Amino acid sequence: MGGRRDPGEDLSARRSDRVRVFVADDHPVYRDGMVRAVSERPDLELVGEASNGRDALAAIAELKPDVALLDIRMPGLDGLEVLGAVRRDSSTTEVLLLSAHLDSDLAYRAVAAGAKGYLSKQAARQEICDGIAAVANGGTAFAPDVQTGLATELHERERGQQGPVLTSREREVLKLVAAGHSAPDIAERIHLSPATVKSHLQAIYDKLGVAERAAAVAEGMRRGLLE
Amino acid sequence: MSVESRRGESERLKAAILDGALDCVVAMDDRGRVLEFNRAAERTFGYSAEEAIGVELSILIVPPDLRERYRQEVEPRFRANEGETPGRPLELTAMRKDGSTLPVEVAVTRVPGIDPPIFAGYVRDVTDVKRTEERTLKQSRAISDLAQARGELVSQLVLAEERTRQRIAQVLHDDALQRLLAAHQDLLEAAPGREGVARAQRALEGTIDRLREAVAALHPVTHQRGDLQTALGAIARQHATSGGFRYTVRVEPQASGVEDELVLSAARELLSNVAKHARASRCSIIVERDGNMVNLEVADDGVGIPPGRQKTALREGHIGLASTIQRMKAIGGDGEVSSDVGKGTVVRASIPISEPTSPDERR
Repeated sequence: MGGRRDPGEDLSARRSDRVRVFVADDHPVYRDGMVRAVSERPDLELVGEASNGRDALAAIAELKPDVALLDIRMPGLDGLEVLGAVRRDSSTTEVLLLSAHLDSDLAYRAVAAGAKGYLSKQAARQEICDGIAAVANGGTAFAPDVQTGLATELHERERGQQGPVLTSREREVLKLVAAGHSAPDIAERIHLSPATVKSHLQAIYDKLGVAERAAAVAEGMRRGLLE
Repeated sequence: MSVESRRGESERLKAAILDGALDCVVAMDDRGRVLEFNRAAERTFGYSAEEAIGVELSILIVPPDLRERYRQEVEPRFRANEGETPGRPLELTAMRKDGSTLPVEVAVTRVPGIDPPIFAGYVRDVTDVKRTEERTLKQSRAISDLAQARGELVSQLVLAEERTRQRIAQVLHDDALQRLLAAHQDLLEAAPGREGVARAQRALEGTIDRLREAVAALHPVTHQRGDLQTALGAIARQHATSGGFRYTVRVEPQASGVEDELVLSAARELLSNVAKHARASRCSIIVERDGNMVNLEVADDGVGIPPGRQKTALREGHIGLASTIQRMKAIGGDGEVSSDVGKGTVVRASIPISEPTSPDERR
């Protein structure tokens, strides 16, 4: 996290040099604290605040702040939805998200939607203000936990990209197909009706993107489903 | 003994058989007039044989308002039956001498080898049969009503519990937790480094953590907008941390947004079970749509459930898994556990998709 200027320099900074900040949070006590912290920072200028996503979005469109500090969970539109709308409007406003729970899935979605930062609401206000400044200067601000979570999430999602997962029953059926059993034979072995086995087979074909048994077995092998 | 007297005996035998018969037996000529009227017929209709003989049967036992239809539609069918065995019985309404009516089954056959023809009619009072049928029908309706009501109740109960969890989680998260977080920040700024403040700080951090855990265990509040995949992910992550396993969540898009609350409730139970008992290293959660059902599969590679374990667990009050399955069945879905000891457990639950209620009711 960088970009925090020397306080002495900030005091003499011209108005236009200060980072214009918008704060949105539905809890008045938490919001007031952040608003005060931003107002007290010489390098930041508070341009507005909102208690819900809809008001925040309208105000951001009008005020065009440099950075919007958004709580993820808000009534109306949540932080991610406001983020999405701001990015769709190709606004110059950068978004820094806050949440009480740091969550790797939310972190992934926030980054994918174009957030430049995601911090815990437990962080000290000065730390959050530093994050705002960093984001305004073209940097990013992610809590260490978020970075770890993001790495895990990316890895998991990459693994998940290999196509739909077969249910354990479908894997069982596919293994029996690979072992050369016919549908009625499989039905008898795993105590299902032949019709059910056929519908499992169809689901397997659909999920693997194949048209028939041999191709399903080949694709299953390729994906390691028969181990 | 002479042939004559044997014949006499035979006549008496036949009369005894007729009079001993439980069904009413009536013989008619080709114009429908009564020739024979046995005891059972006397008892059932209240006429003596003497009164009945010679009178047209339709006048005797068919209610006046049905008489025309009887002559036009029923009699011709009886006459048409030329076989030796009675045709399939017809259900009719008959009338007693006192004017009361009763449901009867009537079968008629033409007695062979006699001309002009004679018809034998067999009439059975089916009042009791009807009553039993009605009672059975009523009972089976009552049973199916009860089953449906039970399903609705259980489903409402699960939904109510889920919504209560959601509300409590929201209140804790949206107010209590936010105040604590703000207080924590205030304290950080107020007097950093002082010993008493540092203690208060640690206490506050501990409280925030506990509260966060409590909220997470209640409901994934940050995933409330109809996104089953992420909501399940949040629940799975939490149990994965306590159970020490890795997990994958897969939700078919068309399975999301239909019965999310019931799916979340079932998944939470099943995952908590995996975390507590399975000692699994991997767990997969799959939700798929199958027609008007949503199927949830939770599969783990843990220690498995020994045969019979579920029953003893139920007796010992560990009702998690069994009660989840019972609930699924009660709401008209199904639940099934298959487990190989040492290889893992697969639980499949299917949840019926209910008729959409009004939008504000479902939220």
